[in-house]
Amino acid sequence: MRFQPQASRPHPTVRMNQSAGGTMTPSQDSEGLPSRGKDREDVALAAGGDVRAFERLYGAHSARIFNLARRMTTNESAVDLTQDIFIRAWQKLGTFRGESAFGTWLHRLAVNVILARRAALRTEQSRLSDEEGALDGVPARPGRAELGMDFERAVEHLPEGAKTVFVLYDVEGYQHEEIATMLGISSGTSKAQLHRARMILRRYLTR
Amino acid sequence: MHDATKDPWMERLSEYLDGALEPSEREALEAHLKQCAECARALEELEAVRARARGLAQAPVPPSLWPQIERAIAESGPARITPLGSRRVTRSFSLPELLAACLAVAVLSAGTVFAVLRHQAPAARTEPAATAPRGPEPRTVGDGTASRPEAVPERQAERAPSVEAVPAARTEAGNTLASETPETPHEEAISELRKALARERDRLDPTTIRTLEANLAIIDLAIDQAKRALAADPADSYVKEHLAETMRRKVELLQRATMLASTSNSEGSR
Repeated sequence: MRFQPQASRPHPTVRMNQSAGGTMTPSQDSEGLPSRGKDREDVALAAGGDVRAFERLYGAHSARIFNLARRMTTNESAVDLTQDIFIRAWQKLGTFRGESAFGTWLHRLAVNVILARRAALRTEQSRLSDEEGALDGVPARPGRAELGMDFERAVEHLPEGAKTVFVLYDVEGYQHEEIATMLGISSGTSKAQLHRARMILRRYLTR
Repeated sequence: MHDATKDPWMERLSEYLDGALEPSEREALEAHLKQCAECARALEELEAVRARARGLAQAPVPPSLWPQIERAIAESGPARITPLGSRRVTRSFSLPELLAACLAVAVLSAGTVFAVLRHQAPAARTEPAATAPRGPEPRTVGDGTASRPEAVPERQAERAPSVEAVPAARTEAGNTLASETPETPHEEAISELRKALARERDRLDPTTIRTLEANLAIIDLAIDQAKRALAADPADSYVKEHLAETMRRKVELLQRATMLASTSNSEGSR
């Protein structure tokens, strides 16, 4: 057997402990202790009104937030959403208790903002409702240099429910239990949507 | 292309890949994979998809973004400390779920609190808020800060003095941030109610307090998210109408709860 089912997820952006099952802090270990300590200092300073400290927090976390927003919505919306998320973070710093990493808190805030905004805009619902035709607009298998970018496009064209779970699970490293809580769905539905997304994307990779 | 609906194992491949199958299921699937080339190939492809997802590169953040944020936070003022008691649940709702929850919880909250408090103060009579004719929709006030609106609905005119009118919705996208800070009239109303209940705490059943606190937190979250939704799409009359109605119900709940708690206290002190 070539495949070994994974008991842990060596993830590029979020490190999850899959064997723990159902933990609610996807990136609690994704920041090293020195980074967490620095964040903690900057959070305390920023909560007191220090904009430069907040700028440092922005510098450390904006790429991940921006890319999360980009993948869950569109490139056009991502800039506005990222701005909104960081402004909200600034305003809500006083509610951050330091019980988790700042990055974890910020990421969760970002997911909530993105989901709320997306629901309001009802983005992509009609455009992406056709599962079978979801990737019709994506070019056939690209050259190697374009592979990453076009895979992103393929993800972008997924049906909304499948895309949301795919991004949160496979890209961001959340667990199904967490995703279910955030989206108000069952864990089983989250698993089904993930599989749906992967099955659609595999067609892109193999055609 | 293989028809996944014909092979039930095909639907379990992602779970297998993620190590989520029970040992007995895993063994059965592995036995199946030895005999089913289609499933084995699909598994390879799913693994490739997962690997690709994990290897996605981060696109650079536009350099113009920070200056915009810096300007916005300079205008919004420093971060504010939120009292522990007002910390919110972080669950996110879909819009239909949110709207339904707003109305349902507001009604249930009003009923629950009213019933429990009334039980504690059987002599209390609190009809004004319920019998007052419905006034015009509460208005958004300026930048969302605690300015008193020019026209106060009649039902609000009979409220406890500290409960300010609540904005129905933001009317300008630019008000999004200011109107979500803790000093909005809506938040102020909650704050005032909490103060009032804190004063009466010793005389009220802890279950009553907990019920009220929990329901207020849920309503607060629901309204907050509805306001965000409306900020993103100010022209959505459906959201606006439901938000306004939810806020009216919340004001009613706050008025009743505050009044009943106060009445309960005065009854008990006789």
